[in-house]
Amino acid sequence: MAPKIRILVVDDELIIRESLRGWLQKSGYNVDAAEGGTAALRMLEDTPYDLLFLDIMMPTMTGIEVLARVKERYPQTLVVMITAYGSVQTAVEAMKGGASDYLMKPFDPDQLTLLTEKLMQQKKLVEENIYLREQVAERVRFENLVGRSKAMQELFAVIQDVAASDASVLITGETGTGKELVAKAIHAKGPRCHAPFIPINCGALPEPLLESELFGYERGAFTGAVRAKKGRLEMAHRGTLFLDEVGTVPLKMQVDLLRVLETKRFHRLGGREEIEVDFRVIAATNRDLHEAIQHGEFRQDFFYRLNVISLHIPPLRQRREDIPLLARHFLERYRRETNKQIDSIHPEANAILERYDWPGNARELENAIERAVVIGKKRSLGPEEFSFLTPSVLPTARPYALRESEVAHLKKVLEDFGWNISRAADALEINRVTLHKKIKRYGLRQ
Amino acid sequence: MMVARHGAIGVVPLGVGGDAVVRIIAANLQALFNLPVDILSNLTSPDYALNGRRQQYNAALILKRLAESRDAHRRVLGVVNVDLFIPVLTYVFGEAQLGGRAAVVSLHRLGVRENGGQASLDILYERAAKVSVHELAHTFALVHCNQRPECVMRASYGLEELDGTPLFFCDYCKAFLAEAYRRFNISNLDGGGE
Repeated sequence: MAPKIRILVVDDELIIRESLRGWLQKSGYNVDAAEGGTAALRMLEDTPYDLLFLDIMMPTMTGIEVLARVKERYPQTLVVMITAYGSVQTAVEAMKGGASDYLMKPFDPDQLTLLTEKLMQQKKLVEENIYLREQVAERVRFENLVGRSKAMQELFAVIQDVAASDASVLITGETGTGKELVAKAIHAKGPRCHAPFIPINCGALPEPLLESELFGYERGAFTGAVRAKKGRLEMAHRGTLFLDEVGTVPLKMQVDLLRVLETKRFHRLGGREEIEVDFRVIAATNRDLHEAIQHGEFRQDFFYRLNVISLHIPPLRQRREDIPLLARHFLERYRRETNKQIDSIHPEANAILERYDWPGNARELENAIERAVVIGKKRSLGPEEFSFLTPSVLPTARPYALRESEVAHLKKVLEDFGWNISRAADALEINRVTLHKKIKRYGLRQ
Repeated sequence: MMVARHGAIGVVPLGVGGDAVVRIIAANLQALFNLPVDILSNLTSPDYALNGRRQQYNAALILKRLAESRDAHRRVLGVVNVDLFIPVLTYVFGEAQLGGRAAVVSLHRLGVRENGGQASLDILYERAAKVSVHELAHTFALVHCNQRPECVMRASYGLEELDGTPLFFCDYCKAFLAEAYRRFNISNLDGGGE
């Protein structure tokens, strides 16, 4: 039987809606109908239709206007314009507006069915292609490196340049900016890409454990060492060793690591045999290592050994233009993981995301999107899904201006009282007329 | 004329002269659906459904009239000679209420060759049988089949495609039909009456 494709028929004439719906249902499609653009857009908020048949001549909102809104908010929904009054001009306008095809009523039966089948095949291929490309992207570890800001474009270019060499790289940036992803990208793009990428979070392990994890140990080296174990230095042979939070490595171990980086030799704990290794080292830190050096907490020679090439990832608040792109990227991932039919972020929600400072950077944004997808009930993530981004941390343009404070307070009170003007006015201890005037003056809307 | 029996399919000629094609349709329906089929009295041509502007007959109006008829048949297939349409399409060979009671088949376009000229009677009869079986199957909520090309439920919209469509259900559609009989509480000929 035919796949359960969802189709929405939008036409102000009932007989057209019913006859087209009946015809398409016999091909096994799930078909709904809407009598106009407003109803259609409302239905699209809740249901991810694959295909729209959209009449051009409708009162209130024309098909071309509806087409623009659909393509803006739900770009993956295909649209076929239908009309009884064709003209070259409207056809061109429709195709330029993103319509997939343009049909004159009445259609030939085979024309309609073949077109529908063809569009659904195309859609399936496009979706498979996107999925496969993302699969490939995941294999080369680029998937979260998303950004159109100048800073990120420059970073991508530098990654391309440094990947080919074997020089050590020190990646700096605040927590959650994607330092490990950059490290993986450098590894994936370089000549060692077929060898292991071995990460170790130096900040997560106490010193004795860090030492044994890095150098490995022989049987009996210490209590509990019941068998020999390879350390990360050995495991990274021919590949890349990623030292995350390198700023937390204890001073003594910095000396040991420096020796390994310079001589390419070391001993396991409790071992006598000298082991030769060859790996590229990439290190990352959110700490200011210059300051750490000045405080005697980080060795300058170790720093210079790591910092042959320096890469800095700017925080998200310094590249706000990347936020919608990243949000979209995370949405795609969690939509697939949760199998929920959410395929867009409402412009108002995007505005909230862009205004927020993201102290946790991309990781915090990813968590926010994941949370929103889990709790989201509609097809598009709206401002309500991001209400946990508390207003107090949303920066305003002029945080000390009285007007800004009054607007923020009015909004909060109105929302708290469900926009009940009487109750809000009572709470504010002003009369209703005054409240109405303030709402009008500040352009507040529910 | 046979007496209507409860639970059977009723085939209603609507202004169709000569009953050979109607008998052939009825025989094929009985064979493929394994349900008793009655040929009912010939009614007049469905002039109430004529669209003067298009000079075609609105299939939806015919279906409505058939569905509302008071006889006891669980499913009713109308057979007409006139050209049928539904509002969005230029023409249809037949039409049916999906999961409903009524279906209709038009012989108007079935008796011509793809490139014009008269088709032979055996071709007309075969086409009429295929469209009738296909449309009636829609009343049992079967949709177009994309599991097998060799199935009467595959979608075919031109005469050439129709001629290439076989006159039997694939295994999937047979299973769906059996399921539909259970859902609609219909006993087939093997199972006896209800």
